[in-house]
Amino acid sequence: MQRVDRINLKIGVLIPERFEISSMVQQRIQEISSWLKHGDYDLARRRLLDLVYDTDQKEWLMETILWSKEFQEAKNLDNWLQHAKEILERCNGFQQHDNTKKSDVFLIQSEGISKTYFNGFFSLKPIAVHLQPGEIIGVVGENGNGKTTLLRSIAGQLESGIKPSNFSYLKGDEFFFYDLKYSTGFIPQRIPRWYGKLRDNLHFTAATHGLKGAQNDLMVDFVLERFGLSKFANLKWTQISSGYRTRFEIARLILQRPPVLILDEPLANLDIIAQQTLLQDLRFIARSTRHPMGVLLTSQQLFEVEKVADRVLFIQKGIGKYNDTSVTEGFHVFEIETTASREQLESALGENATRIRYNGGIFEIEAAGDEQKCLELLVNQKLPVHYFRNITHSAKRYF
Amino acid sequence: MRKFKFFHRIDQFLLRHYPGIWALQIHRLLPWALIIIAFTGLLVYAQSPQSYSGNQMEIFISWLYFFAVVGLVLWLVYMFRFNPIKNFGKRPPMDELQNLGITFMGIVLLATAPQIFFVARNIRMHTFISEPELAQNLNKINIVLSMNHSLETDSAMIRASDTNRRKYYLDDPTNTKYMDSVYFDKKDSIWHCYDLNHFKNYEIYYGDKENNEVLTGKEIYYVLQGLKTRKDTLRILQDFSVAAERIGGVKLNPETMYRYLIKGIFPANSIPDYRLSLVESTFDDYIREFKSNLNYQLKYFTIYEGLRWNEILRFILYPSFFITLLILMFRNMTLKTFLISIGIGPLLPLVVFLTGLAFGVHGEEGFFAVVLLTYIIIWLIYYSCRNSARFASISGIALNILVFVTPVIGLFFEAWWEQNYRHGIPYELQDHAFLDRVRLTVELVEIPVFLILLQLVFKPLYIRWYSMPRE
Repeated sequence: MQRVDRINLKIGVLIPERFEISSMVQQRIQEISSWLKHGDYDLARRRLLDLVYDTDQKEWLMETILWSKEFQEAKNLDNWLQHAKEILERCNGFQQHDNTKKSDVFLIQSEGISKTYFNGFFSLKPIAVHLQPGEIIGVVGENGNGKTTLLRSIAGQLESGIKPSNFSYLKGDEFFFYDLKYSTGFIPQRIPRWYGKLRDNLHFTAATHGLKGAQNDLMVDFVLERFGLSKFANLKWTQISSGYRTRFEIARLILQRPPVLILDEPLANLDIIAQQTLLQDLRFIARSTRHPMGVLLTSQQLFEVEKVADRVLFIQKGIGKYNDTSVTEGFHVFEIETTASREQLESALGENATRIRYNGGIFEIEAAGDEQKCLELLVNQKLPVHYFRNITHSAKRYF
Repeated sequence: MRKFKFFHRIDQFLLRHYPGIWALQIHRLLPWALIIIAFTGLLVYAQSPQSYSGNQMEIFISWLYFFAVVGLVLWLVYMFRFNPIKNFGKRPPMDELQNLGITFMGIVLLATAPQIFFVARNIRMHTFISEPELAQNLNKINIVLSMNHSLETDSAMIRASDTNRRKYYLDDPTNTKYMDSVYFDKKDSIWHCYDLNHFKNYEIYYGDKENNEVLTGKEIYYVLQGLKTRKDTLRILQDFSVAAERIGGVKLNPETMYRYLIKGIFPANSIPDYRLSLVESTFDDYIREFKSNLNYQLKYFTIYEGLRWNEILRFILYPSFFITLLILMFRNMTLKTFLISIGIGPLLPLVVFLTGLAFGVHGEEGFFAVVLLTYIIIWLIYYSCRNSARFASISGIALNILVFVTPVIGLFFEAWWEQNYRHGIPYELQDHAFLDRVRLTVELVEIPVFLILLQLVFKPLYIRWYSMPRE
């Protein structure tokens, strides 16, 4: 606590008054300064790396990586923070080109991606996919309903009728699928094993995607530091946990700088904190001003995905629908976990509840009033409420 | 320690600048292979020629083969761990040719290691005895032995009619050419010496050619094993030269033959019976035994192997090339399709045979036509399946077969042409030098042609095939 307090004092110096929130850069600088002020050093460290990366200044990035490495061993945080201030000030004066503001640009634009397997046991009905730079689409649904099929189809792994014209960043020649796989980062649910040192794998990927020499070193150091993987870099695949394997795989894809990132169940092997961190990182990385990416990801962690996704696509039995398409005016849907019976709930809510469904230990209630009214009715009847959530705009209500 | 740092720096430099070369791991293989080859070569070179023969050397060579195979497996394991092609990385314009060349070089290195014994021995021979000198004397020896056999078996296998040629070979001290074959016709008592210096390809036609009793330069072995001392050796060589003069009318210098012996040209695997018979009986007995065992002796007679560099090279280069092609396929294919291709490959001759039967073809020309037809059919199969994910395996297998067969299509046509050329011409009247030149030309031409095809045709087809959706 003492340490945080001490830092807070210093942060007063870190945020000069002349910082005005007038641009995305300044907004990010403000955020970073705030995190530093409140002791969220790790988050601030990651975001400062992102910020400097977006400036495209190699020397600055090198300096920031060194600064980031110092954090782990820093005995004198005052110096470390002072250094952060210098970097922030430098970035403040830098005019960045914001590539995310091209709202009319679509990376993927398809009215109907569909797939029927050779044996005909499953068919994915046409699903419209429109993905912009910086946008995240979360794909949710029960197992075996077509999430992975959709992602693999877009990644060019399944024969699904996708065409070069569906991808604004690709040429339409005979090497379309090679270009698609070169330019689209895809992480399957089961990540193939890496051989040799993890660092060598990253250097290799960077080099095969055009980052040579010093630039290769710089970018590998950047992704290692950005994802907190530096201390594992010299280990081998079998020496790290499956959660870290996912992070290394994402780091490897970032080195490829793909316009589109596709992740199949990336949260599956991660603990709760790591899930939050990864989703947050995906949000940040997707909205990079220098290399914005469109992100498609599947997950069973519905609420976590909804927090970062711009849109959520729900797929059921091969049919997809987006979460923003069918909200009925005036009606709300709530999830309630309670020890009360269905009859007690019906009695408490009266005519406000149009439908009560018991689903996996949780009641799902469609009601005419908003959440405040619903909670009020339950509390008045002294019914115990252990968990309450408004899922009116969540894909959860489709399950 | 500094050396290891040096190798590490090379490794990291290649990793960051030339990932395609780094992935081939040639920089790990190259130093070890060169060290082993150099060490083995020096070891063999330093050995006495007497030790070139015998079980120990065979065991030594077997171990070299074993280590080469282990080295190959290890190398492949390391090489297959990283593959920019399968990672859908950037593909430089000449990457396929570069990979092919480097892989080929690595395989040749590994294949050379066990052969270093022969290479070192040949170098040693060349160091001590000049080729012209050797040629002259070997010609003499072979004629003597052939004549001797002719007298012994009372057959008319060795024909000669051209006295001038005989004189050219035997009596002209400046002659440095090798005879391709020697015949002596007892009835005519005339020499036929065919000067075919084309290929340094030496053969003695001994016995009945129809029954394949032919000695070739490959049978380079032992006449006089067990001759340990100079005195003993020279005595027997003296006897041999006397016998040679009596039988064949040709003078051989025992000192020269002794030099052959000690320099490793006759790495003697003993025929101890001769020595014993010489010690225990008279010279006439020895000559008698010499004649009676001539068959056996000739089987092991040494003809200078150093004249056959090109054959040693072929022995190394062709298998290396085809292993390289297999690796190229593996790097561009899924494991499943590659393994099926390997399994189906050997069935291809059967397919050709059955196709021949179906068309009712006869003779060599018909066979060649069927092979050509099969080649075209495989191309058609590839093109009809190339856009289908469902039949991706079939198009992949067809592509692999095409890559494997295309480099030898030239030789196939050459064989076809050669069959027609040879038809109706007696063997001894055929122009072997010309035929060899044609064959060599075809071999030399088809390599660049294949490389061009690889770059312009097969590489794009492999890129397209591997990146296609699989399901």
